[in-house]
Amino acid sequence: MMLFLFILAVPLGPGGGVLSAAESSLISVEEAMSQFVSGGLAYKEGDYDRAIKEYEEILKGGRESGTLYYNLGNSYFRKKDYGRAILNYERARRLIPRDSDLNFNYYYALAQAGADRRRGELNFFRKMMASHVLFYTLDEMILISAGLSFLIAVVHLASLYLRGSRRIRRSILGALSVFLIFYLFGSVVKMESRRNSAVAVANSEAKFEPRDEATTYFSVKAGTKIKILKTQEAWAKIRREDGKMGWVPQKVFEYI
Amino acid sequence: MRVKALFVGQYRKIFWIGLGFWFLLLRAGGAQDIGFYAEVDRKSVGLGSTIQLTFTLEGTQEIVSLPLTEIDNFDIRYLGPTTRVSIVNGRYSSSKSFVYSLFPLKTGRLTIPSVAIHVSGKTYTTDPLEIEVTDTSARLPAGTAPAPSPAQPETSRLEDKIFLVLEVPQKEIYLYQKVPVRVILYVTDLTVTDIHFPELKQIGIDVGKLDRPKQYQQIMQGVRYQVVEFNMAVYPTRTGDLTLGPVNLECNIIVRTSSRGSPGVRGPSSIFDDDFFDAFFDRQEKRPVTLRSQEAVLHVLPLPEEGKPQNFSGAVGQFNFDVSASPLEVNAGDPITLRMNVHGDGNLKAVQLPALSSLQGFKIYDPQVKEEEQAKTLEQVVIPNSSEIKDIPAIEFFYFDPGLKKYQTISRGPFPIRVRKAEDREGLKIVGGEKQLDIVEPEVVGQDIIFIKDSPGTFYLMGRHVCHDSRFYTVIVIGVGVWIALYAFYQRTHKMETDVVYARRLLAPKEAGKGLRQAARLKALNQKGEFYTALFKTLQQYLGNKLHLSSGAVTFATVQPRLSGCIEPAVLEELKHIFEECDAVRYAPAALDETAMSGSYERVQKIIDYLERHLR
Repeated sequence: MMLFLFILAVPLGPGGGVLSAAESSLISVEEAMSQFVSGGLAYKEGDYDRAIKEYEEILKGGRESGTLYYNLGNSYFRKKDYGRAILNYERARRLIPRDSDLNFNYYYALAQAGADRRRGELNFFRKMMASHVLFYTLDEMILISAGLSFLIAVVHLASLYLRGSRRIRRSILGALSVFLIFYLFGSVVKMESRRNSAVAVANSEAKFEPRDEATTYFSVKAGTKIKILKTQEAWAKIRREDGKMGWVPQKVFEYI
Repeated sequence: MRVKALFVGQYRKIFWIGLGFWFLLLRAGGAQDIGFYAEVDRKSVGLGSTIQLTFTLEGTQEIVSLPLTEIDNFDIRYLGPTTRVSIVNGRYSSSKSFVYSLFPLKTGRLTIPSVAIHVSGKTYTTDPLEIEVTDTSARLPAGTAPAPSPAQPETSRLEDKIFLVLEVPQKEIYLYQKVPVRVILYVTDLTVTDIHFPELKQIGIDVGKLDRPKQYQQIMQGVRYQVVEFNMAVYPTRTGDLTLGPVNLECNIIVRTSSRGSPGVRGPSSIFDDDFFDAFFDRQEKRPVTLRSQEAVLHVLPLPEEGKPQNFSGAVGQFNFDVSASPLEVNAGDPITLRMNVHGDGNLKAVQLPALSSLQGFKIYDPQVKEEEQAKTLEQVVIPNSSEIKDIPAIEFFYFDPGLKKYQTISRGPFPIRVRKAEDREGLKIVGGEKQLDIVEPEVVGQDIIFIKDSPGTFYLMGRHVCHDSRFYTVIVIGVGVWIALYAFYQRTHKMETDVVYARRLLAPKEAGKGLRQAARLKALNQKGEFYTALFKTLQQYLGNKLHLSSGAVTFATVQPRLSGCIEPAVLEELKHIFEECDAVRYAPAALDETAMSGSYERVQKIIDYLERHLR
């Protein structure tokens, strides 16, 4: 019982249960497919601007896919707009995190951009959790958690009705519960890491105060992943992955 | 407590008796005369046997040790003290003995000198003892007259029976020259075991590895010796006169020793002194000895300066020098292995092979040197840099030949090689490994992003996840509902099986309904007696189930105390009335009409309804 209540208590993430504003102008899957092919043709012809336009039309139409972001990232990369390329690769990683092509291009773009990835040393648990979180999409984690809960319920009822060994029942339920907690925790971590995450799309300087004349604290290169802590007029307080915090203009980043 | 006191009393008695006894001993001891004697277990002994020498001090035990460390012509070993105390006819006597094992070092009449000690200001001296030491090798069987032998020396010494010789065949040598040395152990008429390797430590002389010793027999001056020969080589490392030796060698000699008691016990002319009994009773023991050889003086000459090659590295002896190069056809940049081998008789340890340090047109790698018993090998990799190179130049090895007393040069090469241009090369190869591995030069590959994908995959609504889908929650809610329902059902079933009170209370209205329906059928048939019986039983069973009582035990008197606080008095009165009515009809059937039966039926029905609602 407690497990099911816990499942229901999982935060639903931003926009949970609410249709986005784009739903009113939602394009059909066929239209999205048509524009995707057009974007691909433009890319192959070397017309990267047109490719970007085609791909972004699909996004404006309320449809997204991991491959769409991947192709869009490639298009920006070809234009040497590494910031937006990395931004779109990050978005693609939300949907197709295990795609090897995507991961190669992502890290290659990071290297080309010279973006800051100063995460510091992770301990064993954090490394394990990071690889666990990066391996699945959020949907996959939630579905696995739900499936594990269902399995726990079935095993619980089966052990009651079939009058199995209490020790075996406890062992199985214990093991399943550990997995469930692992996936639920992973889901929470994933949602938390995505919350207010952004990528700098242009080189910038983080200031001590939200004004142009303020002292520069550190530089933010295009492609750097940042966390938006708060916004104030045209400025946003950001935190880089190495923990440094400063103020940058809002126009220099885009949310993932 | 009484037993304990008894024990304490007994211990106290023993203590006082013991104390008195020792006081008596001390008084008696003080009165005893002091005597100091020396005796041997036998007066005649063969060379190679031991005798036991005992010094006995009577009348006192003040002396801890004797001032005896050595006796001429004997190897002496102290075995330890013994103490004897005796009381005969009330006369107390004590003595302390110091026992030594003597190993005669030569034959003849040997004297054990007198030994003096000082006790209480007085000096006590033993008499000197004479021992006849005979040569066992000259001993003949009993009854045979000894034949005079001109070769037999008058006096035999142990040094004649076991000795160590250092033999150096060449005394005048050159610096670094190899000098063979023999250390020879000679043994006759003795049994020797546990022979250690000889020790030779000398400053200015480098001692080589000892060979495995040889064993053989040799006759010298008519005496047959067992010989153990150790061969080694020494290399002088400085000039001038160097003293080699003495060489020390440790071993054990097996000696015969008597196991009999002292002669004083048996008397001097006991039949047990016979040789037969000697042989029978004698036992053997190991006696460690350290043998020392004589010294030898080496005159070490410096190497002559005349004709000394510039690159002479200190090789002294007779050597051969071989050089080989392979492969002889290579691409420019490919390795060629040069193998140099020096073998011969000399100071190989100090020989330095002529490794190449620089060679024009070649890249030179550090050499690898292997040393064996009689040879030294050097392998060196050289890499020709261009196809212009036609050969590897000649390599020379210099050494000093002490036999010829001059420097010698061995030259090998030049080695013609064919070097192809680097374009023909296929790859680098490691030469000298068991397997030849191709090392492919790292390929320079381009780097770029991977091409776009043609298939878009699944299109999702922007920002929508499974957790935004109502179907997901529907499934969750249904799942939870099913689980709750099944779990509740299980709990109810389980309680019904295990909780009798609960089960009876739960089944009470159902069974009451069944009873009422049967009563209604009997009322319709106008069977008054059976009707009231059914009515009564229904009521009885219902109350029994509700109050967890046996149905047969339910009467108004039994249920009244339990119901009086739970239900209204009017209902309780009604219940009493119906019980009385049922009893009256069942045991004294009265003329009741159908209206009365219906009234009774309704009252019972109302009471059950009421109790069902109010009785928890």
